[in-house]
Amino acid sequence: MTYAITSNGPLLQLPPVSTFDVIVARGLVEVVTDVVVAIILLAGFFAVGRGLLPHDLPALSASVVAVALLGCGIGFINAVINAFFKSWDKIWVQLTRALYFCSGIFYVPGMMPDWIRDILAWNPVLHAVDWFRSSFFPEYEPHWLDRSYLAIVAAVSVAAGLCLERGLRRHLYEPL
Amino acid sequence: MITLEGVSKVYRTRSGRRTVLDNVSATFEPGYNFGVLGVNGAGKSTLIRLIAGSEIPDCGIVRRYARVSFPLGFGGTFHGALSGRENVAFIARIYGAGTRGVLEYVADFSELGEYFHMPVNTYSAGMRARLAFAACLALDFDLYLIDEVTEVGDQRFRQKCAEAFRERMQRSDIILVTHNVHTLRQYCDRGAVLDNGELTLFDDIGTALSRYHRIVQESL
Repeated sequence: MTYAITSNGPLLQLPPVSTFDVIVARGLVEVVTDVVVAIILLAGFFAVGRGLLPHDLPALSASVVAVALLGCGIGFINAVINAFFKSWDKIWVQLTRALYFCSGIFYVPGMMPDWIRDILAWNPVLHAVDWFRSSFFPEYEPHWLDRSYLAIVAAVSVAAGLCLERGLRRHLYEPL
Repeated sequence: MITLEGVSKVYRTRSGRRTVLDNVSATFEPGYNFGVLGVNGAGKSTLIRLIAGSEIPDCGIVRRYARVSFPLGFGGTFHGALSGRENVAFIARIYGAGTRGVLEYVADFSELGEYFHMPVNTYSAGMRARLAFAACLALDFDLYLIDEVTEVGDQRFRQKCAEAFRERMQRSDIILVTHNVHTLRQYCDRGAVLDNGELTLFDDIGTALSRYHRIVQESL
């Protein structure tokens, strides 16, 4: 989504196409792509006999929706920032590299000492991952999981992204 | 009809703020073809983009009481990674036109042949302009905005464009930016002069031209 505005310059010359449209379109593409990839991966696990179905489908859907909203909100903000600072994408990649290790992907936060987990719990992505995880395993009940925290951060990021785009809209595409 | 009400547009450049339009109010009446005149960098293209709606004014309102085309200019409205065909299909869809009819018309008019199915990145400037002209003509607009691309393609294609536009001008109007006085007199009956953030409309293209020439003389 970061490149939504900068890579669609020519299309933005068409009056019916707004910056809002291209950012939302890119967000949709990303979400649909990721969902399809996830389904293919799960199907792949079934194909090799290691398949697993979620026991709690509503929780699974809710966690996916929440993390998609969070991603789209932050994507919106990044798209606007990247239209002003062309190097922002590189900086952002470096900034978020640490998220791979802070989001409980390669480990379960329960294995962490309490004080480290308390720090990591500020990361909304960690909650999304654990929410997703708990929808697969009924016995997995992370007591640190705070769904409303994730929802609030996602809502705030979406609101901030929309406000940024609306406020700076007239400066987002300068002449080619 | 197009009305500008207190429209201002300022660009921030490295050398400071540059006012392109300063509280401009004007009415482009239907039934007339306007030629826009102004020295290089006066903001003619910006004016065209503001009228089209490709750009938003800093303040003021642009009202359009007509179906206004996208600006037909060198900037281009095509996505380089998509083929000419895909680009045109996209434009047809967002303007709510029948995709098949538009594609047939453009394939025929642009004479791009096999290139129609290749990415726009591979096009020459002339081919791009041909595609843009064809796409613009394929859609039924009440007002066409043309920005300095009248001198495009070879003699024959230019002739063809001129004929197509003359035919279209029986029911549509144009606002034309060009430095070619001959083209201007040929197509336009009214003129608009853009100078120092001020836009002045003239009922007669000749008066507009002489005003423009005076501005050019003064700046020498």
